Amino acid sequence: METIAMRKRDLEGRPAASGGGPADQAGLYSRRAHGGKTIYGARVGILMLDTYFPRVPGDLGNATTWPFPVLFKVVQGASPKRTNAEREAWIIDAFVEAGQELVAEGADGLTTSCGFLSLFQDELAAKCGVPVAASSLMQVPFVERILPPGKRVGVITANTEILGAEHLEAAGASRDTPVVGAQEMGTAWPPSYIPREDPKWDMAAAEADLKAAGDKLVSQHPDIGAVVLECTNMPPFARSLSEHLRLPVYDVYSFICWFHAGLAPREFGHPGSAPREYRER
Amino acid sequence: MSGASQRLAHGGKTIYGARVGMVMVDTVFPRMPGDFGNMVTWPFPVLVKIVRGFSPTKVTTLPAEEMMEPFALAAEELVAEGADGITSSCGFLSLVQEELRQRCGVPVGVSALMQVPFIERLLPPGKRVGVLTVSTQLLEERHLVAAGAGADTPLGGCENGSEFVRIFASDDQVEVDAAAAERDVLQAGDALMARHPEIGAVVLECTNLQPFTRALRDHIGVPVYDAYSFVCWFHAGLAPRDFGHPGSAPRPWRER
Repeated sequence: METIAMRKRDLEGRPAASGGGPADQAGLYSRRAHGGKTIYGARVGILMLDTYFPRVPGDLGNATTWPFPVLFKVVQGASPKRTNAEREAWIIDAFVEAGQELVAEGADGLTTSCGFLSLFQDELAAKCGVPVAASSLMQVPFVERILPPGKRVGVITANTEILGAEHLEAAGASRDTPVVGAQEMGTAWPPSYIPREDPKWDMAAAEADLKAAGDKLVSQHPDIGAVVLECTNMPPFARSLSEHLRLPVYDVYSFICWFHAGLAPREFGHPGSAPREYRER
Repeated sequence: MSGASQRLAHGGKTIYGARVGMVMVDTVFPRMPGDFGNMVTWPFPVLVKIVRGFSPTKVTTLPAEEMMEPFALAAEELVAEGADGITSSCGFLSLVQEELRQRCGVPVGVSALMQVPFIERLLPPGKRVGVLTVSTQLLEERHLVAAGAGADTPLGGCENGSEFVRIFASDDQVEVDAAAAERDVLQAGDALMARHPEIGAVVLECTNLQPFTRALRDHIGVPVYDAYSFVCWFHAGLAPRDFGHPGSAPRPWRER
Protein backbone atom coordinates (compact mmCIF):
# COMPACT_ATOMS: atom_id res chain seq x y z
CA MET A 1 0.00 0.00 0.00
CA GLU A 2 1.29 3.41 -0.88
CA THR A 3 1.93 5.64 2.10
CA ILE A 4 2.20 9.38 2.25
CA ALA A 5 5.82 8.98 3.28
CA MET A 6 6.56 6.90 0.15
CA ARG A 7 4.86 9.41 -2.02
CA LYS A 8 6.79 12.25 -0.45
CA ARG A 9 10.07 10.43 -0.93
CA ASP A 10 9.26 9.92 -4.61
CA LEU A 11 8.46 13.55 -5.09
CA GLU A 12 11.59 14.75 -3.36
CA GLY A 13 13.69 12.28 -5.25
CA ARG A 14 12.62 13.61 -8.63
CA PRO A 15 15.40 15.29 -10.59
CA ALA A 16 14.99 19.03 -11.07
CA ALA A 17 14.68 18.66 -14.84
CA SER A 18 11.32 16.96 -14.66
CA GLY A 19 10.14 19.62 -12.22
CA GLY A 20 6.93 17.81 -11.41
CA GLY A 21 5.65 18.33 -14.94
CA PRO A 22 4.78 14.98 -16.52
CA ALA A 23 4.13 11.79 -14.69
CA ASP A 24 7.19 10.30 -13.15
CA GLN A 25 8.01 6.63 -13.61
CA ALA A 26 5.92 5.54 -10.64
CA GLY A 27 2.93 7.30 -12.13
CA LEU A 28 2.83 9.91 -9.38
CA TYR A 29 2.21 13.55 -9.96
CA SER A 30 3.14 16.52 -7.86
CA ARG A 31 0.46 19.16 -7.70
CA ARG A 32 2.42 21.29 -5.29
CA ALA A 33 1.48 24.99 -5.62
CA HIS A 34 4.12 27.69 -5.52
CA GLY A 35 3.56 31.18 -4.13
CA GLY A 36 5.70 34.29 -3.81
CA LYS A 37 3.18 37.02 -4.49
CA THR A 38 -0.16 38.18 -3.05
CA ILE A 39 -2.74 38.03 -5.84
CA TYR A 40 -2.89 35.23 -8.43
CA GLY A 41 -4.61 34.83 -11.77
CA ALA A 42 -4.34 38.47 -12.85
CA ARG A 43 -1.17 38.43 -14.93
CA VAL A 44 -1.40 41.86 -16.57
CA GLY A 45 -1.04 45.03 -14.49
CA ILE A 46 -2.52 48.19 -15.96
CA LEU A 47 -1.09 51.58 -14.99
CA MET A 48 -3.87 54.13 -15.31
CA LEU A 49 -3.63 57.84 -15.89
CA ASP A 50 -5.73 59.80 -13.39
CA THR A 51 -8.89 60.44 -15.48
CA TYR A 52 -12.63 61.01 -14.98
CA PHE A 53 -14.17 60.64 -18.44
CA PRO A 54 -16.38 57.61 -19.15
CA ARG A 55 -14.67 54.40 -20.14
CA VAL A 56 -17.26 52.17 -21.83
CA PRO A 57 -16.97 48.42 -22.57
CA GLY A 58 -14.05 48.03 -24.98
CA ASP A 59 -12.03 50.79 -23.32
CA LEU A 60 -8.82 49.61 -21.62
CA GLY A 61 -10.07 51.12 -18.37
CA ASN A 62 -13.34 49.19 -18.32
CA ALA A 63 -12.76 45.93 -16.51
CA THR A 64 -15.42 44.06 -18.55
CA THR A 65 -13.31 44.61 -21.67
CA TRP A 66 -10.81 41.94 -20.71
CA PRO A 67 -11.39 38.23 -21.22
CA PHE A 68 -9.02 37.61 -18.27
CA PRO A 69 -8.60 39.29 -14.89
CA VAL A 70 -6.27 42.29 -14.68
CA LEU A 71 -4.89 44.47 -11.88
CA PHE A 72 -5.39 48.21 -12.14
CA LYS A 73 -3.45 50.95 -10.39
CA VAL A 74 -4.24 54.63 -10.83
CA VAL A 75 -1.21 56.90 -10.77
CA GLN A 76 -2.70 59.66 -8.64
CA GLY A 77 -2.19 63.16 -9.98
CA ALA A 78 -0.97 61.93 -13.37
CA SER A 79 -3.66 63.61 -15.44
CA PRO A 80 -3.38 63.39 -19.25
CA LYS A 81 -2.54 67.10 -19.32
CA ARG A 82 0.24 66.91 -16.73
CA THR A 83 1.58 63.66 -18.20
CA ASN A 84 1.39 64.19 -21.94
CA ALA A 85 1.21 67.94 -22.52
CA GLU A 86 3.20 69.37 -19.65
CA ARG A 87 5.41 66.31 -19.25
CA GLU A 88 5.99 66.81 -15.54
CA ALA A 89 9.19 65.02 -14.62
CA TRP A 90 7.95 63.27 -11.46
CA ILE A 91 5.36 61.28 -13.37
CA ILE A 92 7.68 58.68 -14.85
CA ASP A 93 9.01 57.89 -11.37
CA ALA A 94 5.44 57.58 -10.11
CA PHE A 95 4.69 55.14 -12.96
CA VAL A 96 7.76 53.07 -12.12
CA GLU A 97 6.79 52.98 -8.46
CA ALA A 98 3.19 52.01 -9.27
CA GLY A 99 4.47 49.37 -11.70
CA GLN A 100 6.71 47.89 -9.02
CA GLU A 101 3.74 47.79 -6.64
CA LEU A 102 1.63 45.95 -9.21
CA VAL A 103 4.42 43.42 -9.73
CA ALA A 104 4.72 42.91 -5.97
CA GLU A 105 0.95 42.41 -5.77
CA GLY A 106 0.90 39.83 -8.52
CA ALA A 107 1.24 41.27 -12.04
CA ASP A 108 3.66 39.41 -14.34
CA GLY A 109 3.55 42.02 -17.12
CA LEU A 110 2.63 45.70 -17.33
CA THR A 111 0.80 47.99 -19.70
CA THR A 112 -0.50 51.56 -19.49
CA SER A 113 -3.72 53.41 -20.22
CA CYS A 114 -2.19 55.70 -22.85
CA GLY A 115 -0.51 55.09 -26.21
CA PHE A 116 1.68 58.14 -25.74
CA LEU A 117 3.46 56.35 -22.92
CA SER A 118 5.69 54.51 -25.37
CA LEU A 119 8.01 57.15 -23.90
CA PHE A 120 7.97 55.21 -20.60
CA GLN A 121 8.56 51.77 -22.16
CA ASP A 122 12.28 51.46 -21.58
CA GLU A 123 12.31 52.85 -18.06
CA LEU A 124 9.37 50.68 -16.96
CA ALA A 125 10.94 47.55 -18.45
CA ALA A 126 14.31 48.32 -16.88
CA LYS A 127 12.99 49.07 -13.40
CA CYS A 128 10.02 46.73 -13.02
CA GLY A 129 11.81 43.58 -14.20
CA VAL A 130 8.84 42.10 -16.09
CA PRO A 131 7.79 42.34 -19.75
CA VAL A 132 6.20 45.70 -20.51
CA ALA A 133 3.80 46.52 -23.34
CA ALA A 134 3.43 50.24 -22.72
CA SER A 135 1.79 51.37 -25.96
CA SER A 136 -0.42 50.00 -28.70
CA LEU A 137 1.91 51.82 -31.12
CA MET A 138 4.46 49.06 -30.55
CA GLN A 139 2.37 46.93 -32.90
CA VAL A 140 3.18 49.15 -35.91
CA PRO A 141 6.36 47.37 -37.05
CA PHE A 142 4.76 43.97 -36.40
CA VAL A 143 1.67 44.75 -38.48
CA GLU A 144 3.88 46.17 -41.21
CA ARG A 145 5.48 42.72 -41.61
CA ILE A 146 2.18 41.00 -42.44
CA LEU A 147 0.93 43.43 -45.09
CA PRO A 148 1.22 42.95 -48.84
CA PRO A 149 4.23 44.69 -50.41
CA GLY A 150 3.66 48.41 -50.98
CA LYS A 151 1.13 48.58 -48.15
CA ARG A 152 1.90 50.34 -44.89
CA VAL A 153 0.42 50.92 -41.46
CA GLY A 154 -1.36 54.15 -40.59
CA VAL A 155 -1.97 55.41 -37.06
CA ILE A 156 -5.02 57.14 -35.69
CA THR A 157 -4.35 59.00 -32.47
CA ALA A 158 -6.60 60.90 -30.08
CA ASN A 159 -4.48 63.98 -30.42
CA THR A 160 -1.86 64.90 -33.02
CA GLU A 161 -0.93 67.89 -30.89
CA ILE A 162 0.70 65.39 -28.55
CA LEU A 163 1.79 62.51 -30.80
CA GLY A 164 5.17 63.26 -32.32
CA ALA A 165 7.98 61.39 -34.03
CA GLU A 166 9.53 60.62 -30.65
CA HIS A 167 6.46 58.66 -29.51
CA LEU A 168 6.58 56.62 -32.70
CA GLU A 169 10.29 56.07 -32.43
CA ALA A 170 10.05 55.00 -28.80
CA ALA A 171 7.50 52.39 -29.93
CA GLY A 172 9.80 51.09 -32.68
CA ALA A 173 7.64 52.60 -35.45
CA SER A 174 9.21 54.70 -38.18
CA ARG A 175 9.08 58.45 -37.68
CA ASP A 176 7.34 58.92 -41.02
CA THR A 177 4.40 56.62 -40.17
CA PRO A 178 1.23 58.30 -41.48
CA VAL A 179 -0.76 59.72 -38.55
CA VAL A 180 -4.16 61.38 -38.33
CA GLY A 181 -5.67 62.82 -35.16
CA ALA A 182 -9.29 62.18 -34.30
CA GLN A 183 -9.33 65.60 -32.63
CA GLU A 184 -8.95 67.19 -36.08
CA MET A 185 -12.44 66.00 -37.06
CA GLY A 186 -14.64 67.62 -34.44
CA THR A 187 -14.96 68.17 -30.73
CA ALA A 188 -15.37 64.60 -29.41
CA TRP A 189 -11.65 63.81 -29.09
CA PRO A 190 -9.66 63.59 -26.96
CA PRO A 191 -11.94 62.51 -24.11
CA SER A 192 -9.33 63.80 -21.67
CA TYR A 193 -10.68 67.29 -22.48
CA ILE A 194 -14.08 66.38 -21.04
CA PRO A 195 -14.59 68.47 -17.89
CA ARG A 196 -14.47 66.60 -14.61
CA GLU A 197 -17.57 68.46 -13.39
CA ASP A 198 -19.68 67.18 -16.30
CA PRO A 199 -18.12 63.90 -17.40
CA LYS A 200 -20.29 62.95 -20.40
CA TRP A 201 -19.08 61.73 -23.78
CA ASP A 202 -21.21 61.49 -26.93
CA MET A 203 -20.23 58.06 -28.23
CA ALA A 204 -21.96 58.62 -31.59
CA ALA A 205 -19.93 61.77 -32.16
CA ALA A 206 -16.76 59.98 -31.04
CA GLU A 207 -17.43 57.17 -33.52
CA ALA A 208 -18.22 59.59 -36.34
CA ASP A 209 -15.04 61.58 -35.75
CA LEU A 210 -12.96 58.41 -35.57
CA LYS A 211 -14.38 57.20 -38.89
CA ALA A 212 -13.73 60.64 -40.41
CA ALA A 213 -10.13 60.39 -39.21
CA GLY A 214 -9.90 56.99 -40.87
CA ASP A 215 -11.30 58.40 -44.10
CA LYS A 216 -8.73 61.17 -44.04
CA LEU A 217 -5.92 58.71 -43.37
CA VAL A 218 -6.74 56.47 -46.33
CA SER A 219 -7.50 59.34 -48.70
CA GLN A 220 -4.17 60.99 -47.92
CA HIS A 221 -2.33 57.67 -47.99
CA PRO A 222 -3.95 55.19 -50.38
CA ASP A 223 -1.16 52.73 -49.53
CA ILE A 224 -2.54 52.17 -46.01
CA GLY A 225 -3.08 48.43 -45.54
CA ALA A 226 -3.95 48.36 -41.83
CA VAL A 227 -4.59 50.81 -39.01
CA VAL A 228 -3.17 50.89 -35.50
CA LEU A 229 -5.13 52.87 -32.92
CA GLU A 230 -2.90 54.73 -30.47
CA CYS A 231 -5.57 55.57 -27.95
CA THR A 232 -6.92 53.14 -25.35
CA ASN A 233 -10.37 54.78 -25.58
CA MET A 234 -10.71 53.66 -29.21
CA PRO A 235 -11.26 49.86 -29.05
CA PRO A 236 -15.05 50.28 -28.55
CA PHE A 237 -15.09 51.59 -32.13
CA ALA A 238 -12.43 49.35 -33.69
CA ARG A 239 -14.93 46.89 -35.17
CA SER A 240 -17.04 49.59 -36.73
CA LEU A 241 -13.94 51.41 -38.02
CA SER A 242 -12.54 48.21 -39.53
CA GLU A 243 -15.79 47.56 -41.39
CA HIS A 244 -15.98 51.17 -42.50
CA LEU A 245 -12.42 51.31 -43.88
CA ARG A 246 -12.46 47.66 -44.95
CA LEU A 247 -9.04 47.29 -43.35
CA PRO A 248 -7.64 45.36 -40.38
CA VAL A 249 -7.54 47.49 -37.24
CA TYR A 250 -5.21 46.71 -34.35
CA ASP A 251 -5.55 48.42 -30.99
CA VAL A 252 -4.55 48.07 -27.36
CA TYR A 253 -7.10 45.28 -26.98
CA SER A 254 -5.42 43.12 -29.63
CA PHE A 255 -2.03 44.05 -28.18
CA ILE A 256 -2.76 43.17 -24.56
CA CYS A 257 -4.66 39.99 -25.39
CA TRP A 258 -1.58 38.87 -27.31
CA PHE A 259 0.71 40.01 -24.47
CA HIS A 260 -1.35 38.01 -21.98
CA ALA A 261 -1.31 34.91 -24.19
CA GLY A 262 2.41 34.54 -23.57
CA LEU A 263 2.28 35.42 -19.86
CA ALA A 264 -0.41 32.79 -19.25
CA PRO A 265 -0.71 30.43 -22.22
CA ARG A 266 -4.09 28.80 -22.58
CA GLU A 267 -4.57 25.43 -20.92
CA PHE A 268 -5.97 23.03 -23.55
CA GLY A 269 -6.55 20.11 -21.21
CA HIS A 270 -6.30 16.41 -22.02
CA PRO A 271 -4.17 14.86 -23.47
CA GLY A 272 -1.63 17.66 -23.84
CA SER A 273 -2.01 18.67 -20.22
CA ALA A 274 -1.49 16.57 -17.10
CA PRO A 275 -1.41 17.15 -13.34
CA ARG A 276 1.68 19.14 -12.45
CA GLU A 277 3.05 21.70 -10.08
CA TYR A 278 1.20 25.01 -10.01
CA ARG A 279 3.18 28.19 -10.30
CA GLU A 280 2.75 31.64 -11.76
CA ARG A 281 6.34 32.75 -11.20
CA MET B 1 -32.27 57.49 -42.79
CA SER B 2 -34.28 54.28 -42.55
CA GLY B 3 -33.21 51.45 -40.27
CA ALA B 4 -33.20 49.00 -43.17
CA SER B 5 -30.60 50.83 -45.25
CA GLN B 6 -28.42 51.30 -42.18
CA ARG B 7 -28.05 47.54 -41.83
CA LEU B 8 -27.26 46.70 -45.45
CA ALA B 9 -25.16 43.52 -45.71
CA HIS B 10 -22.34 43.33 -48.24
CA GLY B 11 -21.13 40.17 -49.98
CA GLY B 12 -18.36 39.40 -52.46
CA LYS B 13 -17.10 36.05 -51.21
CA THR B 14 -18.50 32.59 -50.52
CA ILE B 15 -17.93 31.79 -46.83
CA TYR B 16 -18.29 34.36 -44.05
CA GLY B 17 -17.19 34.52 -40.43
CA ALA B 18 -13.96 32.55 -40.88
CA ARG B 19 -11.45 35.34 -41.33
CA VAL B 20 -8.20 33.39 -41.01
CA GLY B 21 -7.22 30.90 -43.73
CA MET B 22 -4.69 28.22 -42.83
CA VAL B 23 -2.47 26.41 -45.29
CA MET B 24 -1.53 23.06 -43.79
CA VAL B 25 1.34 20.67 -44.24
CA ASP B 26 0.20 17.15 -45.27
CA THR B 27 0.52 15.17 -42.02
CA VAL B 28 -1.02 12.12 -40.35
CA PHE B 29 0.34 12.42 -36.79
CA PRO B 30 -2.19 13.16 -34.03
CA ARG B 31 -3.07 16.81 -33.51
CA MET B 32 -4.42 17.18 -29.97
CA PRO B 33 -6.52 20.06 -28.63
CA GLY B 34 -4.16 23.03 -28.59
CA ASP B 35 -2.41 21.91 -31.78
CA PHE B 36 -2.75 24.29 -34.70
CA GLY B 37 -4.47 21.59 -36.75
CA ASN B 38 -7.14 20.73 -34.19
CA MET B 39 -10.18 22.86 -34.86
CA VAL B 40 -11.28 23.03 -31.21
CA THR B 41 -8.08 24.98 -30.53
CA TRP B 42 -9.37 28.16 -32.10
CA PRO B 43 -11.75 30.53 -30.32
CA PHE B 44 -13.05 31.64 -33.75
CA PRO B 45 -13.87 29.76 -36.98
CA VAL B 46 -11.08 29.22 -39.49
CA LEU B 47 -10.73 27.88 -43.03
CA VAL B 48 -8.17 25.17 -43.69
CA LYS B 49 -6.54 23.88 -46.86
CA ILE B 50 -4.12 20.95 -46.86
CA VAL B 51 -1.28 21.17 -49.35
CA ARG B 52 -1.21 17.51 -50.38
CA GLY B 53 2.16 15.91 -50.95
CA PHE B 54 4.02 18.40 -48.77
CA SER B 55 4.95 16.24 -45.80
CA PRO B 56 7.00 17.37 -42.79
CA THR B 57 10.11 15.90 -44.42
CA LYS B 58 9.58 17.90 -47.58
CA VAL B 59 8.73 21.12 -45.80
CA THR B 60 11.86 20.99 -43.66
CA THR B 61 14.24 20.04 -46.45
CA LEU B 62 13.01 21.40 -49.79
CA PRO B 63 14.34 24.70 -51.11
CA ALA B 64 11.86 27.53 -50.59
CA GLU B 65 11.34 27.91 -54.34
CA GLU B 66 9.76 24.47 -54.61
CA MET B 67 7.20 25.25 -51.93
CA MET B 68 6.15 28.70 -53.02
CA GLU B 69 3.79 27.78 -55.83
CA PRO B 70 1.70 25.09 -54.10
CA PHE B 71 1.39 27.03 -50.85
CA ALA B 72 0.58 30.27 -52.68
CA LEU B 73 -2.09 28.50 -54.76
CA ALA B 74 -3.70 27.08 -51.63
CA ALA B 75 -3.62 30.49 -49.99
CA GLU B 76 -5.19 32.15 -53.01
CA GLU B 77 -8.00 29.59 -52.96
CA LEU B 78 -8.62 30.30 -49.28
CA VAL B 79 -8.87 34.02 -49.98
CA ALA B 80 -11.33 33.41 -52.80
CA GLU B 81 -13.44 31.26 -50.49
CA GLY B 82 -13.57 33.82 -47.73
CA ALA B 83 -10.31 34.16 -45.76
CA ASP B 84 -9.19 37.72 -45.06
CA GLY B 85 -5.74 36.74 -43.79
CA ILE B 86 -3.41 33.76 -44.26
CA THR B 87 -1.33 31.74 -41.85
CA SER B 88 0.30 28.30 -41.91
CA SER B 89 0.65 25.19 -39.79
CA CYS B 90 4.45 25.17 -39.75
CA GLY B 91 6.95 27.69 -38.40
CA PHE B 92 9.47 26.63 -41.05
CA LEU B 93 7.21 28.16 -43.70
CA SER B 94 8.61 31.59 -42.87
CA LEU B 95 10.46 30.76 -46.09
CA VAL B 96 7.29 31.38 -48.12
CA GLN B 97 6.13 34.47 -46.17
CA GLU B 98 7.31 36.89 -48.85
CA GLU B 99 5.84 34.94 -51.76
CA LEU B 100 2.45 34.62 -50.06
CA ARG B 101 2.51 38.26 -49.01
CA GLN B 102 3.04 39.26 -52.63
CA ARG B 103 0.43 36.99 -54.08
CA CYS B 104 -2.51 36.94 -51.68
CA GLY B 105 -3.42 40.62 -51.40
CA VAL B 106 -4.42 40.11 -47.75
CA PRO B 107 -2.32 40.18 -44.57
CA VAL B 108 -0.08 37.12 -44.25
CA GLY B 109 1.60 35.81 -41.12
CA VAL B 110 2.85 32.30 -41.76
CA SER B 111 5.21 31.64 -38.87
CA ALA B 112 5.13 32.05 -35.10
CA LEU B 113 8.80 33.02 -35.40
CA MET B 114 7.66 36.42 -36.67
CA GLN B 115 6.88 37.31 -33.05
CA VAL B 116 10.55 37.18 -32.04
CA PRO B 117 11.53 40.81 -32.76
CA PHE B 118 8.18 42.02 -31.40
CA ILE B 119 8.66 40.28 -28.05
CA GLU B 120 12.27 41.40 -27.82
CA ARG B 121 10.97 44.98 -27.50
CA LEU B 122 8.94 44.16 -24.39
CA LEU B 123 11.67 42.59 -22.29
CA PRO B 124 13.81 44.21 -19.62
CA PRO B 125 17.26 45.26 -20.85
CA GLY B 126 19.71 42.37 -21.14
CA LYS B 127 16.92 39.84 -21.66
CA ARG B 128 16.48 38.02 -24.97
CA VAL B 129 13.97 35.87 -26.77
CA GLY B 130 14.86 32.22 -27.25
CA VAL B 131 13.28 29.89 -29.81
CA LEU B 132 12.24 26.33 -29.13
CA THR B 133 11.82 24.22 -32.26
CA VAL B 134 11.10 20.60 -33.04
CA SER B 135 14.77 20.02 -33.81
CA THR B 136 17.71 22.41 -34.03
CA GLN B 137 19.05 20.15 -36.76
CA LEU B 138 16.12 21.24 -38.94
CA LEU B 139 15.75 24.92 -38.06
CA GLU B 140 18.26 26.94 -40.02
CA GLU B 141 19.38 30.52 -40.06
CA ARG B 142 17.33 31.09 -43.23
CA HIS B 143 14.10 30.30 -41.37
CA LEU B 144 14.89 32.83 -38.63
CA VAL B 145 16.00 35.57 -40.99
CA ALA B 146 12.93 35.14 -43.19
CA ALA B 147 10.81 35.69 -40.09
CA GLY B 148 12.67 38.89 -39.15
CA ALA B 149 14.40 37.24 -36.18
CA GLY B 150 18.10 37.63 -35.51
CA ALA B 151 20.33 34.92 -37.00
CA ASP B 152 21.95 34.62 -33.56
CA THR B 153 18.67 33.94 -31.72
CA PRO B 154 19.30 31.30 -29.02
CA LEU B 155 17.82 27.98 -30.16
CA GLY B 156 16.67 24.88 -28.37
CA GLY B 157 15.19 21.69 -29.81
CA CYS B 158 13.52 18.46 -28.76
CA GLU B 159 16.04 16.29 -30.65
CA ASN B 160 17.50 14.74 -27.50
CA GLY B 161 14.15 13.31 -26.46
CA SER B 162 12.62 10.03 -27.50
CA GLU B 163 9.13 11.00 -28.62
CA PHE B 164 8.51 14.53 -29.89
CA VAL B 165 10.82 14.50 -32.90
CA ARG B 166 10.05 10.84 -33.68
CA ILE B 167 6.38 11.75 -34.15
CA PHE B 168 6.15 15.38 -35.18
CA ALA B 169 8.96 15.36 -37.73
CA SER B 170 7.65 12.14 -39.26
CA ASP B 171 5.56 11.56 -42.34
CA ASP B 172 3.84 8.35 -41.19
CA GLN B 173 3.56 8.07 -37.37
CA VAL B 174 -0.05 7.99 -36.16
CA GLU B 175 0.32 7.70 -32.39
CA VAL B 176 1.99 9.92 -29.83
CA ASP B 177 2.59 9.43 -26.13
CA ALA B 178 1.64 12.90 -24.95
CA ALA B 179 3.35 12.43 -21.59
CA ALA B 180 6.63 11.48 -23.26
CA ALA B 181 6.31 14.31 -25.77
CA GLU B 182 5.70 16.77 -22.94
CA ARG B 183 8.77 15.46 -21.11
CA ASP B 184 10.86 16.11 -24.23
CA VAL B 185 9.52 19.64 -24.44
CA LEU B 186 10.16 20.47 -20.78
CA GLN B 187 13.66 19.03 -20.95
CA ALA B 188 14.37 21.03 -24.11
CA GLY B 189 13.15 24.12 -22.25
CA ASP B 190 15.44 23.36 -19.32
CA ALA B 191 18.43 22.90 -21.62
CA LEU B 192 17.71 26.14 -23.46
CA MET B 193 17.38 28.12 -20.22
CA ALA B 194 20.53 26.55 -18.80
CA ARG B 195 22.56 27.45 -21.88
CA HIS B 196 21.10 30.96 -22.11
CA PRO B 197 20.17 32.33 -18.69
CA GLU B 198 19.54 35.71 -20.38
CA ILE B 199 16.35 34.38 -21.99
CA GLY B 200 13.34 36.42 -20.85
CA ALA B 201 10.71 34.85 -23.12
CA VAL B 202 10.45 31.90 -25.48
CA VAL B 203 8.80 31.54 -28.89
CA LEU B 204 7.73 28.10 -30.08
CA GLU B 205 8.41 27.51 -33.75
CA CYS B 206 6.44 24.31 -34.01
CA THR B 207 2.64 24.36 -33.97
CA ASN B 208 2.55 20.86 -32.45
CA LEU B 209 4.13 22.29 -29.30
CA GLN B 210 1.05 24.37 -28.49
CA PRO B 211 -0.72 21.78 -26.29
CA PHE B 212 2.36 21.99 -24.01
CA THR B 213 2.85 25.77 -24.04
CA ARG B 214 1.20 26.26 -20.67
CA ALA B 215 3.11 23.45 -19.03
CA LEU B 216 6.37 24.77 -20.48
CA ARG B 217 5.70 28.28 -19.22
CA ASP B 218 4.85 26.98 -15.76
CA HIS B 219 8.01 24.88 -15.82
CA ILE B 220 10.59 27.44 -17.05
CA GLY B 221 8.90 30.50 -15.51
CA VAL B 222 9.16 32.91 -18.46
CA PRO B 223 6.43 33.95 -20.93
CA VAL B 224 6.00 31.55 -23.86
CA TYR B 225 4.49 32.64 -27.18
CA ASP B 226 3.43 30.28 -29.95
CA ALA B 227 1.37 30.18 -33.14
CA TYR B 228 -1.78 30.23 -30.99
CA SER B 229 -0.88 33.62 -29.50
CA PHE B 230 0.25 34.78 -32.95
CA VAL B 231 -2.87 33.78 -34.87
CA CYS B 232 -5.22 35.05 -32.15
CA TRP B 233 -3.50 38.44 -32.38
CA PHE B 234 -3.61 38.30 -36.19
CA HIS B 235 -7.35 37.58 -36.05
CA ALA B 236 -7.99 40.39 -33.55
CA GLY B 237 -7.08 42.95 -36.20
CA LEU B 238 -8.89 41.21 -39.06
CA ALA B 239 -12.13 41.06 -37.05
CA PRO B 240 -11.93 43.40 -34.06
CA ARG B 241 -14.22 42.44 -31.22
CA ASP B 242 -17.61 44.13 -31.14
CA PHE B 243 -18.07 45.37 -27.57
CA GLY B 244 -21.71 46.34 -28.03
CA HIS B 245 -23.45 49.28 -26.46
CA PRO B 246 -22.63 52.16 -26.29
CA GLY B 247 -19.53 52.01 -28.50
CA SER B 248 -21.35 50.00 -31.17
CA ALA B 249 -24.46 51.00 -33.12
CA PRO B 250 -26.53 49.61 -36.04
CA ARG B 251 -24.55 49.93 -39.24
CA PRO B 252 -23.92 48.23 -42.58
CA TRP B 253 -22.47 44.70 -42.31
CA ARG B 254 -19.42 43.74 -44.29
CA GLU B 255 -16.36 41.56 -44.05
CA ARG B 256 -14.53 43.01 -47.05
